[in-house]
Amino acid sequence: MTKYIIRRLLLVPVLLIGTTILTFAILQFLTPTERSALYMADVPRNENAWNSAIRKYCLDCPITEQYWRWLVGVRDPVSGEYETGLLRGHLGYSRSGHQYVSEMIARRFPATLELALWSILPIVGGGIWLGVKSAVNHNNLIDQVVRVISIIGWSFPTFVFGLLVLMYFYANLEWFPPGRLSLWANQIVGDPELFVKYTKLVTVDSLLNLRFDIFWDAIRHLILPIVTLSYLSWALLLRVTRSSMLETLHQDYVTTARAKGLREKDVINRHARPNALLPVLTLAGFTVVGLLNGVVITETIFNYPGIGKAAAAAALSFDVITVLGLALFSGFILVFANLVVDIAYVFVDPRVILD
Amino acid sequence: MISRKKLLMLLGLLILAGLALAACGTGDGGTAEVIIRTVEVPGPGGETIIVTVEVPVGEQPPAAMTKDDPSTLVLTTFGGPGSLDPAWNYETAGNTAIMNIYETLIFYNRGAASEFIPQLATDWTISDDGLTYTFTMREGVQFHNGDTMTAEDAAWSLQRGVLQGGGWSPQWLMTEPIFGIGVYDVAELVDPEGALVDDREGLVAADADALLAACEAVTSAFVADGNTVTITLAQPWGPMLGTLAGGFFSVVDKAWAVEQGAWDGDCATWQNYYSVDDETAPLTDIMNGTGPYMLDHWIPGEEKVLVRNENYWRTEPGWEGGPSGVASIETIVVLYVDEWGTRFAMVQAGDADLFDLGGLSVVSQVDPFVGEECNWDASIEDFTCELTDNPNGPLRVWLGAPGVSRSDALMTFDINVEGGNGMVGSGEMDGNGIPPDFFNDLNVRRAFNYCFDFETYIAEAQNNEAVRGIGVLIPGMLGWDDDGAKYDFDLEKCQEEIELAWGGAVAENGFRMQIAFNTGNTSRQTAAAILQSNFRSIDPKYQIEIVGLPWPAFLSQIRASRIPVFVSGWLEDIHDPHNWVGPFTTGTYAYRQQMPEEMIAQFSEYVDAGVGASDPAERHAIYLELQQFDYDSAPAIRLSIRTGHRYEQRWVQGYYFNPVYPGSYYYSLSISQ
Repeated sequence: MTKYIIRRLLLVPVLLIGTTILTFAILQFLTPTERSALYMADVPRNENAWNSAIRKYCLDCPITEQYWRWLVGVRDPVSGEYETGLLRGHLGYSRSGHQYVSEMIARRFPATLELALWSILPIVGGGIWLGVKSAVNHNNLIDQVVRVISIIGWSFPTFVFGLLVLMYFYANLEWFPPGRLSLWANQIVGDPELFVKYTKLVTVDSLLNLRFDIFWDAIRHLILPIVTLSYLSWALLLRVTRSSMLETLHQDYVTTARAKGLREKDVINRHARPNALLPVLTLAGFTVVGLLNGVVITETIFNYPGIGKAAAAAALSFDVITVLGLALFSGFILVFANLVVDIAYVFVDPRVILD
Repeated sequence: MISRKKLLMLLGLLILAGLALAACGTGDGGTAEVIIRTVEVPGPGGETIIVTVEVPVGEQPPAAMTKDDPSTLVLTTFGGPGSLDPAWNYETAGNTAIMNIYETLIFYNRGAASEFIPQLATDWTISDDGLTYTFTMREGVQFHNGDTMTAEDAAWSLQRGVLQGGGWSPQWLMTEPIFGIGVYDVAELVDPEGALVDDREGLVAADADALLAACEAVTSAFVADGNTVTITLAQPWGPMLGTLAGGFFSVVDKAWAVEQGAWDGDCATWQNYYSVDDETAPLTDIMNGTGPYMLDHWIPGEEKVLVRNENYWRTEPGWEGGPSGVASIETIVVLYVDEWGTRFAMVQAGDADLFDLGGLSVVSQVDPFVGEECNWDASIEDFTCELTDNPNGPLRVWLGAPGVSRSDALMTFDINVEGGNGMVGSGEMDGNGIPPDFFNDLNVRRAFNYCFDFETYIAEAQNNEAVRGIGVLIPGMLGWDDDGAKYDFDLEKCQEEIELAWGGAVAENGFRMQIAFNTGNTSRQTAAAILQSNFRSIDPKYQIEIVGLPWPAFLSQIRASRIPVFVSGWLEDIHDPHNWVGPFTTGTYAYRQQMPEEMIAQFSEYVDAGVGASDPAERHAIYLELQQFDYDSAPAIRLSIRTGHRYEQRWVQGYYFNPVYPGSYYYSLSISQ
């Protein structure tokens, strides 16, 4: 397995560079003027603006030169030093986000990670639990209820569901506000003398700082996004778990287990469920990757300052530099998450050998 | 009998429908009987006013609109500043922060955008020839970091701005008056062809003598001498005071800025600081002004927080009843909330004191919460307020203030068909297209004007919150005439003009062409649809297709002059006719429309004469002539000028309207507790 992991890790740079080349090539289908729109909020007042934006950012340079500038950087005409360049550790400046891409990721990824971590259990755990419940109660009332509710969730647009719960639980009841923290909590968290950011995960840091009021405030802000993500994600996990579980429950070894007189609970939990979880694990892995890359609509509705919102803004304004930086980051997460899932297979099913 | 499965589905749907209704319902019930009450409510200026209201029997009188925490004002908006450098930033979000944190030599007299009061200067004189402005600086003013503000800071700030330049910075507003009409960037002093604009590398490599001469031209235009600052112009400039009052020309602490990496005043090095980027400009995300607020922090895409300047210098109000002393509100929190539904939820929860709509289409959602309506009264040039039928509504709305943004449908005189252009169809006058010079015919342009139903456009696209456009100027400005010549909607005249156009070929063959708008801009789409519908109603041979383009593609097509008719707009930088006539008749739109040279030349005569005249009456007369020429030559359909529409929680007090403010002037605001 060690060889497998090393081999996969060695492939990471190749995959990431490939991702950036592909992203870069796709964005080159836009004309230089179209890409210069990133620098203009409206038809420019100054006639020179169009030409100068294209010239300044080398938007009409050959694609290889543009990619090279992004990869290696641009030499400052005064100091003679390279200011940017991926190979120098710079992901460039985000025109749509008004900050360096690396800063953007550093600031926003913890928020996305926190939401993902708090969401994984309800999404994956809830989906699997409901799927198992549905399968073992095949075609009875519980199965029907669970399926109907999950199908409604699946077909409900995130946008509509999110706004509905926001209007009811925030605008009407004022229980769960949008954002990541309330203003008062934000002021405390932003003051290094009052609050130490050990992990940049507010819920964890608030506990480490013994600020339970801030912990509760952060949880209040997380509840609606988690509920929205969970409810709308359960259907897929539920259906995969249910069908996999149903298939497993009809396997000979399960019949044998029952024939041997094992309790139904043990048959399900110890024999059927672990084997039914392999396909679910793959799906869960992708779900987690999706969460870590940011959930655009949920983050937008709940004004949650995650990475998905920034990625959407960058894509909408054809912000090449930001899109490239975030694609690189997403690619890294995808490769890493796939590796973790592969390794997890071994533990879930010892018959799997990574080679 | 209904199956169990269907029953369950029904149950699920009912639960969701209940959730939706609970979220959307206001819980209002109908009440037939009312009683008349006299109540005291806070007025817009903080004073108490007495009004009579009809109150349903059994209900309480209007509640006092107060906020538990009056120390913090929360504004929810979308977008956000690109930069906080006053000399570089060129959009309203950044300029709002700049107006509250930095200060200029002079400022606007409350709501009067063309009347000025001293700010960092205590007084000023203008030489008889209109070329020299001398400002006496206020003493004892401190920057936020404690440094004392001097005339040297003021002169250096203006020099730095111009020398920093940049093709899409606001500095062209200053280079024109000090170097001459048509000079948009300092790099044009080194290379008049403009090849060095935004090319720092090229400028650094340029001739040293030329670089030095350019810098000295700037430093000699803005000179500090003792406690005065003198500005010398290339020609008299009518909008000069209006230019100086704008936040682009704020006074920055020189010593502090140099510490942060800004230009140090040495003419040997200015080119190294030319045309910065947001990422490399030293003052992009830090601020140190003299204004009533200080920047606490700015997290792009999340929030910007301003805190009160406890050492603010102003002890006397700038105008009667104006604010003085430290600001009333301690903290201003600007939250960037992109989604309207979320912003609206925050308003309903009382967590947002001010909020941006993002478009008039959502007005109908907000209006049920309005308890007080303030309408612009042109006779007193201010608002009058009264309670609505919902006196307990938590919001106040300000309506009808004269706007400073306009929309026009611009016709391209020489459409670019290089490489093929589907927007002109066949490209021939064969009924299946139009020739590239279709709009070179005056009758065509007049026909398009007569075929446009302005009333419908203003009602449907502008929610009846706009005034009809007349020429390129806006209401109340020099050159504006309510009775000025304009094309009224008249299908018969439209047809007559079409019959005259192209020797009758248009009427005989018909035409087919496209009008483009940027996707998502429904008012521009409506304008196109009105033309399409009206031409079709005259004769189905007159075919207009409407094309929605993503913003980058729209911009690209405009730049290439490939769109026969495009609907676009303008928001003024300074409140002066020159800021309108220039771009529309000789500047960027004239180029995009490929206006004939003789037309631009004629417009230029008016533009140059208007900006060079210092007597308002003389300027007014010149701009009247320009407006008439615009009517006669009909290069565009002058659609409308939007009027204002602003909401706030009723506990917010102190708002007044100034058309040229980029956003709220927080210093004048307070919150009722």
